[in-house]
Amino acid sequence: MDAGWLFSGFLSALEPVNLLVAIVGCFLGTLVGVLPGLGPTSSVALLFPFTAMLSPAATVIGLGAIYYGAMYGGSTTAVLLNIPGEVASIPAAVEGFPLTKQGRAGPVLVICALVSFLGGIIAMIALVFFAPVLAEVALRFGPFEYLALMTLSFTCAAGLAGGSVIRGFSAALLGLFVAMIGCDPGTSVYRFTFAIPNLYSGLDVVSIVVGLFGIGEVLYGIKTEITTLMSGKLHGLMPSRRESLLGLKGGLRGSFIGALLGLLPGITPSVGSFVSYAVEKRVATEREKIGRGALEGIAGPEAANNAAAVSGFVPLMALGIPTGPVLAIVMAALIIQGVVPGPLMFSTHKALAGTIIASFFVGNVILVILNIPLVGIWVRIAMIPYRILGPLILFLCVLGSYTVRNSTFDLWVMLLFGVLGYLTKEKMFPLPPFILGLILGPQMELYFRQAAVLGLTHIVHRPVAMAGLIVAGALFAAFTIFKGKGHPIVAEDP
Amino acid sequence: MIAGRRLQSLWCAALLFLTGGLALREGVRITRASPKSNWLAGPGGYITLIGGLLLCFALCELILAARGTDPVSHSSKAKTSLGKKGWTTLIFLALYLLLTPWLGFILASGVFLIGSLRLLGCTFRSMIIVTLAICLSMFFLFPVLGISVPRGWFGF
Repeated sequence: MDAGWLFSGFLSALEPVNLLVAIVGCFLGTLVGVLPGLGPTSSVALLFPFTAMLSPAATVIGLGAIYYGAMYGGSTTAVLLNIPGEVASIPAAVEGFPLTKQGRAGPVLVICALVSFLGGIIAMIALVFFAPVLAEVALRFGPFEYLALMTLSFTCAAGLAGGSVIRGFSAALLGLFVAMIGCDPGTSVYRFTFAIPNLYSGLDVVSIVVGLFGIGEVLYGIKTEITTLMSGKLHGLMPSRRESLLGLKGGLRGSFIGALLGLLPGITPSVGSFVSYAVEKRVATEREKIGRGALEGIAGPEAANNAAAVSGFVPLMALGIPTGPVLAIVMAALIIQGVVPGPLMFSTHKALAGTIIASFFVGNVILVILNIPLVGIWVRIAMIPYRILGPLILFLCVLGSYTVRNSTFDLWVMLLFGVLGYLTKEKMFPLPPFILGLILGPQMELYFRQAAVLGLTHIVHRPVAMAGLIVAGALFAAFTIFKGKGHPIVAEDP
Repeated sequence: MIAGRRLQSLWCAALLFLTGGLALREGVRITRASPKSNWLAGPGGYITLIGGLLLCFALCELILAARGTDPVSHSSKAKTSLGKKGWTTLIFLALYLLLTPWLGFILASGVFLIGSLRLLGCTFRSMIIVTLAICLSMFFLFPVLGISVPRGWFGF
């Protein structure tokens, strides 16, 4: 294998300008990502205009660094404040927040940083060695396979969420319902818009997520009259040996899951995060603690999240298909710079491809070096009295929702979902399947319609798709039977 | 407790019936407006399917509620309302959103922060410090960062 292009990529990534861009990107990304409601998409979108003055390599390095930084920052707010900055951080909120309440926020954040690094590095190795083969396999996936994969994701999310299987599936269907609001991109038909122009472009996902998690959480905090998110002493900032081992095990599993799923076009890091969470619920050493604060339940999804984000660059660079909104922005930035991602990138811009891959390694190293010393500062955020923090979180939720589309209508959407978020805290519907439905809804519809055009019965001739559907069906049956008998498949949502 | 759970099931069923019915109606309307030989591939087919599934799940909720089977495996704690402070915070938040186009984002944020900080029992000193710090940061930093927020009567 000719590794010269990769070696020159490392040399280019370590150039002072590119290194500085990576450091500034990681710091800014974390800083913006730590603000509740401002996830990686908002962070990259906010800082995207500043990259216009940089070279193509520095642009991707900078945006990549902001992306990792914001993801880590999102996990920080998820762990400390129970406000995931992005969908992929939901498992971190579910598992990390109970540990924050127990005074273990420091070790959790250190483990998050380390497993994110691990995920990034494993995905980078996968990217270098297996990308061509796996990208070819992913190319053979059609709508049937994607439909089956998404059905499997829904079954896992719905079955493993706290509560009944019916409620889990109902929540996923409600997510799919909300995702349909707006203009159908294929036929330009308006759906559920009721002649309200603000609904033509659909509901903004960020506003919904911020409302459900941010506003809902603050309202719940006010109702329960908590004084601080984290009271008492901080039981050390560094994880113990046992905690490190648990984190490593979960992190390794999550890294492989995320790296593999990230290669599939259309699969966002959040899917990797949820699949990893589902796996951890089954195989974790302390699976009885899942839902009440299990380290493996955080380490796996966090590693998967970062690994999927890195390996998501494979379909972007090799096929020109961004796997999510952040990579779509990265793609736009590259096109502005005159570089069109696609099959020709590895031949016409091989040096740039090498620099981008090398920058993942450099960026992840910087992220760890930068964030571990800052853990103490992030942890102290949770010790601010809630009478101050509560209104500040509400203000940041409003700011975060507004800045995505500069729309005051989105703020009302956020408020509405905030009330719904409070109600779901009262155990009406589990949130993870709803969010998954919301995010995967447009893609699911696209693949469903493509499959319908080809003829849905043709699925019997697609072994991978059939296998996916059979597994989903078996899981559904298992969840229904076991939960019906009162077996605790998962612990309750906190 | 059982009555409470049943009521919760009925609420869930009602929500599912409402959304399912809406989706079914919208799906049929769109399918009629754009007839195709393969209606499932059209813009209304998928919606109809989702609507149908939502109605099926609503029916399941109703049956389980009627049979007295608890569809929720976790314990339902005694539910309490949002409380006076919670409701007031919600009202403040709604007022904040209403006032933003008139007062401007920065000033409306200031008013909201003063109100909600005071409501939650903040001292006068910390209330002023926090509000001033946030408003001044927004006033000076947002133009630098290129963040655009609504301006009100006073031009900021």
